[in-house]
Amino acid sequence: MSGSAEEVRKHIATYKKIAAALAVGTVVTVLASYLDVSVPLGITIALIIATTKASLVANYFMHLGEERSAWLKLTVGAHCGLLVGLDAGADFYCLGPHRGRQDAAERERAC
Amino acid sequence: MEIPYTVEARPDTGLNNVKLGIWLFLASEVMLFGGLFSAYVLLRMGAVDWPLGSEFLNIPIGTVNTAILIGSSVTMVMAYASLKLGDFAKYKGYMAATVLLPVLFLCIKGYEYYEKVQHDHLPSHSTFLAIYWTMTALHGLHIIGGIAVNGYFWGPGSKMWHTKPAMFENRIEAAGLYWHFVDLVWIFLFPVLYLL
Amino acid sequence: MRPLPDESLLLRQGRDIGWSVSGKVKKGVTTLDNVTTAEGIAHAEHGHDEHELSFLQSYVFSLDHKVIGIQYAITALLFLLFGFTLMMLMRWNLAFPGRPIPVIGNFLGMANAPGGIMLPEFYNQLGAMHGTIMVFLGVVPLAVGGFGNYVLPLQIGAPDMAFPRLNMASYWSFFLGGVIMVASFFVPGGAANSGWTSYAPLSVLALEGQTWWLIGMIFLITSSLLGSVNFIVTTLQLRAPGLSFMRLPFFVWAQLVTSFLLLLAFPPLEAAGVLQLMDRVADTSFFMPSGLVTGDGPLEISGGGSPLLWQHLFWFLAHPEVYVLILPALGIVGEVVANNTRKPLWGYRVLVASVIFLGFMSFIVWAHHMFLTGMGTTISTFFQTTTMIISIPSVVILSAMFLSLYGGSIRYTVPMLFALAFLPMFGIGGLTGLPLGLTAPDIHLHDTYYVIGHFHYVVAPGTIFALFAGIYYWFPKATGRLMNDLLGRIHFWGSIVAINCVFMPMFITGLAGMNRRLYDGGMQYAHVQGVMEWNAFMSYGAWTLGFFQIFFIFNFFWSIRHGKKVGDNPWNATTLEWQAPSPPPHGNFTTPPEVHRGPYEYSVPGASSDFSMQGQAPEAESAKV
Repeated sequence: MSGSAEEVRKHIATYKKIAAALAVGTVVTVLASYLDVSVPLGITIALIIATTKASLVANYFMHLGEERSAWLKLTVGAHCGLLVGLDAGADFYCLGPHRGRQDAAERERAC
Repeated sequence: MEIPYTVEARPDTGLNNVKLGIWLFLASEVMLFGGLFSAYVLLRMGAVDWPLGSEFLNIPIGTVNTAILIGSSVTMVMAYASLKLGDFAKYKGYMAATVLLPVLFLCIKGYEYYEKVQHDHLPSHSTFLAIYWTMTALHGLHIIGGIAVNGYFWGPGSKMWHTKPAMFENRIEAAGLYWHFVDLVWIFLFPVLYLL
Repeated sequence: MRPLPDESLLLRQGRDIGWSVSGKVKKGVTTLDNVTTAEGIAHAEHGHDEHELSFLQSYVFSLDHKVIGIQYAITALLFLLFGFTLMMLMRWNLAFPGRPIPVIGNFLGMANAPGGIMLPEFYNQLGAMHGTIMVFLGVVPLAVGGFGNYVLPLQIGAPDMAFPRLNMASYWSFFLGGVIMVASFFVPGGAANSGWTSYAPLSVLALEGQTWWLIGMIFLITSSLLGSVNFIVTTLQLRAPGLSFMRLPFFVWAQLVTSFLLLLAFPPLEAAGVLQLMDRVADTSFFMPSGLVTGDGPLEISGGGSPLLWQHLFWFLAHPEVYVLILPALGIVGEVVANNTRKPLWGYRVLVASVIFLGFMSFIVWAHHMFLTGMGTTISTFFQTTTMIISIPSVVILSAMFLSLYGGSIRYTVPMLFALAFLPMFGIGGLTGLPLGLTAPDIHLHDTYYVIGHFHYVVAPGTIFALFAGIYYWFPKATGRLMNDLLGRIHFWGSIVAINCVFMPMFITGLAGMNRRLYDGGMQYAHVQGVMEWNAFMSYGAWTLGFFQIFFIFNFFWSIRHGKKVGDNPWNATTLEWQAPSPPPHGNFTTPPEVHRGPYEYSVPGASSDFSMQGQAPEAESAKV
């Protein structure tokens, strides 16, 4: 975050908006959990909201959006990619080769 | 002997040492929690049945705690902005809130734990409760660490503002980055454990 | 650092510092006055408060990267010796199962070796702790903590590491982890005995030693986390002016990639360690499947856990860990080879690209350790493919090193001998790994001595030889004296012969199907009877190897005081560390270094000497000589 008092005040105004957005996001997550949807859809909705909130925090509170350093963006980007890849891999690992087999015991054996 | 770029940014990387260091630390923290979340995914996918979080956990309490933690993240960033404006008194105020809010969070978390113990919902009860206890406790340890660091910068550590203001600002920025990260972990933990 | 008013004074006293640093190793006493004076000068020069550092501050809780590097190196060398001793004990039982161990057997205690005859449980402890100690307390701390700390800041022209206090914390966390590991031998039931991989559910059901192992690991992980953050920040931020990324010595590149691996691969093991700790202490079932029955009947657990989850989390660390073991070694060999062939490293840019690619790939090959777990053929195929891909950059690096030899005027110094031996040894280790990376042959070879032979070729005559090369190479920088050449040559030739006697027969016994974890070497199995006699042969090899290390140990300590005195740049090397005084004073350089050229400008046509140092200004070239 850079310099002048004017800019800082602008930032503070942004922080307040983000704070409000995060509050709304929290309420929406909780409400969404009461929706009568299937488990996979529920998980998707919750994760989308959580990811949105997390990127707001990272972008504005942690000032990632303003960071000039390419090094930093590279580091953060690369290992977020690694992580998403791993979790996607974990999902695939459990579901992929056994997709279509509904037998839970079968899946448990595989995992 | 003076180590370069402790305060000012190195021109070609655009970062000072502290900021790069804390980001690298957070990268490793992401891998730590990422490992646990992956474990959660694998265990859940492999489970014969998995309870809904709400069967064991109290959603309103969790929501209040989420709000508290987000609130402390906001006061943290406001404390940093106050320093940027040169308003030390305001900084002190916001920092105090940043320290006290997570203490409240821990009290509420402690009550939740107490309730679980009362109902014999211990980690050994089921894999869901095991991962709930493990992840929230590890997150709790991070909170305690954050309280210690922020408490130090509110109290004795804040003397540095009068001698080396630029360095002190950097420290608050780094502490803030860590603190927002702890908040960020909870933003994922809350829906994953309580709501899904 | 600005130039000092009296440069020669600091230079002289800087040497004295290093003297006493190394002196403490041997005698435990120091010439403190010189240190405090020189530090006093350095501090006064920069307007700091003048204060005298106590003995504790100078040598025990020092913030200086060179002292911390030496602390790391000495501690790690001791752990290497300890880990090797455990193995020499195990080799007795493999060679002569059921016979009492002479002399030493009487001191192992009734619980471990009644009448000097080793119990299987004790053998398992030795096996698990040998692996743990060699990897986490020996090789990595020496390669990364020791060489990284000592050499890296010097090579990039930095006054110290970016975070000296973290650096100290990193060492002490490592030390504490080591103490916990060693102490675990004395808890009831002894140390961890579930192998260095600590596979669940065996490890969850194991005795108390396993808990100590987990706690020790958490300290070691913390240590490597602090260290790796420090290395990355130092490398990116503290490079001297003019030292662009493509001018970094190959060793620095290797350390940088290693640090990223440590930073990102260790935390999942920490997560796994926490989960296993919960399984052991809080009776959770993260790694415990339902319906588990032991000799005491069905277990009273909630079940539903996954033993495979531990393996995934463990190998997600432990495969990058293999590259953590090998990359610094490649870096050291690169430096030594370039210096002793008097020509630039062949294909520097390709080497750098290969190292980075290797780092990335090492994150997605881990499950090739798990082909036999029944995780499914789709997954196995994926990991088999990535494993074949990762062998490409390794081969590129090794080929570049070999090509660097071509046409060079090679000086057969002791460090060069070790570096030259490293190349084929690492080659054998790497190539024997290919059948293990393919799913079909792995069915036969998995968990046999073939695997042991394979990875020991990579780590023992590979990495450890490279580390010896590094010790002989940088010893004059740390002490101002050379190590004895004759003793070094005896050490080298004895070790290279003996170590091959230990590991080469393992391929034979492994192909015959000898299992790697049998405490009697496989006596009860008909199919290995034909190769049983190799067991004694390998054991004699191991003890001979131990004998030849005595030459090194003696040489190391003797040379600190009595080695041949040499100047700042005894090898006529080009990189920045040789521009600093030997040993470097606090703050390292007498004048701030500035870099004008690439790292390996040896035998440049038209240059006045056969090496141009990185810090040497171009216009000074003609003035030289």
